[in-house]
Amino acid sequence: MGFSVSASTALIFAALFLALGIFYPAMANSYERVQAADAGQADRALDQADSDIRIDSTASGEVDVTNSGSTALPVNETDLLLDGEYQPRSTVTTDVGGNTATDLWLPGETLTLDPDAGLNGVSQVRVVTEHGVSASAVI
Amino acid sequence: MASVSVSHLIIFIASLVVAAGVAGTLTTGVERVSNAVEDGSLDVSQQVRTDIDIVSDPANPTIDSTTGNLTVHVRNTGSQAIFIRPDAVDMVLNGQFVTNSDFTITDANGGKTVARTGDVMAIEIDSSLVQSGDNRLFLTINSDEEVYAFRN
Repeated sequence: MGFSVSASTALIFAALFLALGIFYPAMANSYERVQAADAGQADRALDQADSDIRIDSTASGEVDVTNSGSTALPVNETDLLLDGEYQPRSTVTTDVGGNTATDLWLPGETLTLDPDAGLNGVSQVRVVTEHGVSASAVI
Repeated sequence: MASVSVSHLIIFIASLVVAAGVAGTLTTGVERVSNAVEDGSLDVSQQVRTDIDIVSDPANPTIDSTTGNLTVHVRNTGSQAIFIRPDAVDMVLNGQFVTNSDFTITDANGGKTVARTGDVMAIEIDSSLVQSGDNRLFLTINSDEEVYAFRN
């Protein structure tokens, strides 16, 4: 009876140790994964709070939008809606201070959007950028 | 004394068998739970990464003049890729669930099958669910809910 108690106890302890070895990495990985996702969300929220745009004018059939925030915005992810109609990005030519090839719209710079459809008869213009930050203007 | 040592041996073997059974059940159970926790964390992290934004203008809903179908544009503002398929989007329009056959979903800027960060999807909903007057669309993608209220 004596040795069997020790042997069984040793076996159960070994099993507990093995179980801990299986459980701990799973918990650690899971926690890290959710933490990383939370950190990504916090970064996005901060970037969104730092972003701001303002429609300056819609003279000569083009929409002039200024980046009045403190982060750079991507030009090729900027959307334009005319009277609620989504303009596919391939139909809108973009221009940052004369540069049509750049993708960077830095704070303080003005982006000029020239839609193929033109602004005749359009009464409301809406520009949407990264993170959903948008600006509307009635013309 | 031989009978005593034989009975000791039997009890010894029996106790070891019981201990082995307990050990096996314990490790199997823990392994199952840890797999479940890991799978659950994958789901949670995907849900946290998902963020969408409705870019359509509430004051000017895009309603086709001939078919009466409503088109809603949705932008992926999170870091989780969204498949452009009807089963990726769940919508309730004016209290009615929009079935997969009642709407089509496409890439608004090309023919992509996956909407990554910054991509816009166009969802066209059949006119039978669109009412005149006030309408409210409740859209859910990967547990991220957005509301689009407009007047027809």
